[in-house]
Amino acid sequence: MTALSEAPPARTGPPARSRRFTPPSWEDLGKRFGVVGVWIVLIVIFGALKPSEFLTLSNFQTMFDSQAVLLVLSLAFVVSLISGDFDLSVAGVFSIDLVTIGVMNMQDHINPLYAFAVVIGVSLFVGIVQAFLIVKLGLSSFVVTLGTGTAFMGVAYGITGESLSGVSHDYGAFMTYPLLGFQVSFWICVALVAVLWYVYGYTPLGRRLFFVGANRNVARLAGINVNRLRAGSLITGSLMAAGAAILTAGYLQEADPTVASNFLLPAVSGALLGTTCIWPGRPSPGGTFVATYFLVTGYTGLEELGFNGWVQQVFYGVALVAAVGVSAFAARKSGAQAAEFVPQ
Amino acid sequence: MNSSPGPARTLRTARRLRPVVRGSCVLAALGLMLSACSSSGSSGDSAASGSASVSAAQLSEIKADLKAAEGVPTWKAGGPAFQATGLAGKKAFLLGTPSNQFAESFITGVTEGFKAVGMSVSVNGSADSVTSQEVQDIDNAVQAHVSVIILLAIVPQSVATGLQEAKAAGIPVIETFIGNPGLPSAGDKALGVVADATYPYSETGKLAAEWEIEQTGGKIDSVVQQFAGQPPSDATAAGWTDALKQYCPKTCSYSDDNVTEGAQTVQQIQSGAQVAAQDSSVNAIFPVYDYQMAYMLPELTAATASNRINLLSENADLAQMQELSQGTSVKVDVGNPVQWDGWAAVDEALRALKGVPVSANEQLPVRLFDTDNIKSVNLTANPASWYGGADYQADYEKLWGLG
Repeated sequence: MTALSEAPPARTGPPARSRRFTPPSWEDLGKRFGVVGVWIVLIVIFGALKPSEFLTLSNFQTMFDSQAVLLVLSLAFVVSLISGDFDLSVAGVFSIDLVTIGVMNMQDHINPLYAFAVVIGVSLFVGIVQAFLIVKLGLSSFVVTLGTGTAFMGVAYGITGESLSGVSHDYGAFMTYPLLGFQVSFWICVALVAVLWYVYGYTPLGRRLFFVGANRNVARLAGINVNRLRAGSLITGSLMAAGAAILTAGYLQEADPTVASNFLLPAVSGALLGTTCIWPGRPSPGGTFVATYFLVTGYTGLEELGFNGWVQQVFYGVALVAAVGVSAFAARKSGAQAAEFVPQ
Repeated sequence: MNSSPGPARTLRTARRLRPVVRGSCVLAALGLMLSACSSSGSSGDSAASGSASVSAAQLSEIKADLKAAEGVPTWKAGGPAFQATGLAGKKAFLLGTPSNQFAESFITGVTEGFKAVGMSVSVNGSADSVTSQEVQDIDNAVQAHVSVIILLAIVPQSVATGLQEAKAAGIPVIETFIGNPGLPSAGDKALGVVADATYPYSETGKLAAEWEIEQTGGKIDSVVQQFAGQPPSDATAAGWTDALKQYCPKTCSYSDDNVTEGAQTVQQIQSGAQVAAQDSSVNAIFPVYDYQMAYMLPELTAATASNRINLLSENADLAQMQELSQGTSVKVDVGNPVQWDGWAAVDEALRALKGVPVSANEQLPVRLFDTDNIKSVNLTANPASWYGGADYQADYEKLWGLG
């Protein structure tokens, strides 16, 4: 992977705050919140077409609750993406962790907390091994994680070829407990987005991570410990995959070794679509949140109109291309170079 | 650093926002088009009107069906007895992988069946259904001079080039789990497929529908979530819809929710269930494969529709059977003893090898598991035991002149 080409000068993170408050221009707002705007338009359109089905609190509660797991997986992908690596193993790690919880808690009725400790330990180990291969040995993150992710999904099948159900009652009840209208699992994701947003947006660590992702060599010359930050990001991504597994087991109350393969592409799509908003041109927790729920809004709206199956897949793909295209077009029209995020 | 925008700057900004505005207009136009077309988006709806319910005679018929289906199945021969001797030492090849409980059980049954006549079986395939690898595996089997090939739930047309090699080498092919029982289609026969071993998919849909009809007195507003175009899915869905049309055409209805296999399958399953749950008139969802129910249950819970909507399906996977036993929205799961299916596939293979007519229907049983009989099933035991103690292995051996 090549370093950033045509990168805009200077900025490696969210816009620096100036001492004097200056209201953002419409151009900036358009670039940062374009996808949000389109999301709102979608809601208006579907709401106008199917008001009694779409514009209900229950509908929005279900939409937001159902994507919590996918959002966490997308964020797991984003943390490595920000520091310039592709981590395609998040789905594979998620798969192993999920079946481990299934076997320990659903099959063998072991206290779920012990199961959580085990999956966190497994993910930590996996993250460390991958960090060694990618950072220390210098192997391509795309290739390594593609290979390990595939291998992990196979291991998950090896652990159990069948889906298991029967999660501990308290565990399942906690994850699905309605809090202010949304399930606890959703609020956990919101908290995660908030924490990551703060770290990446308002801390020196976050700025350094963006710097590393933008240009490793310059970051190294600036005295940043690039290897440590990259390794930390890869390990964090694996740990977040464990988090996704813990959420899933509680939300679905089932452990299915096949489910992870259905989450990889949507997770990556959400992360990449998230680069077109909030912090245009770079991956971000907020952008990923918006992108994930924008896509599910379209899905659900089409379903309620009677369009399902291939139409939804077409929407998914077209929305991804269109959002990236509009964002790049708008950036180009403003005279700035399109800062296409390319991990190294 | 921005200053207050002047008129010229405002004009430039307006021009720059044109793409966003244009994009929004395109979306709005798309929305209008969708509204014009949305009435044709859903197929297979039937009207739910009138107050005529199921007749007493029909209810009686349904009860008898359900009682028979809830009980332990018995073995029936798929064809006349024959001598399966003289096959010791021959080799069979099964194209498939033990990637899930279903496949493992089938492979176990096939292995046991061939072993009973002294044959060995090799198993190979692609866990991700990569066609080129499957064709390669068939080629390798042909090179290894196997005597018969069994396809595990693989559409013959998808591995046509491999099957043509097998046909040229005179190796008969048995297909399995491609729709309802019957002889192979003309297209499959042209590829050297000589027999089909499968269970009656439409029977599973019919039994599930009958259960729901009995429970609701013939007042059903259902959603059928299927993978249209896949023969097993089509057959299963048809069983459900045909039963509704037969018993309660005026008071039962269904709408189709089509799902495609791919990266968005889970999301489509979820969104389909979510939309169904939002419709207060829907009281049943019939996904053609029971694993879909796993993704539906949270949607029903979130929409507080768990008590209103019954989930019914087929396959009898362990997780869904556990859901059934726990009193969730899962009310019915129609299962089929897959290990038994493996012996049936061997029966067809042996008939082909001995030159006797193959069977058009191996009479494979299904069993309806519901809230009444689930308590009698030991879910911790091998799934083969859920179908009772029929000694089908001994019955097949007797059929083959071995017992």
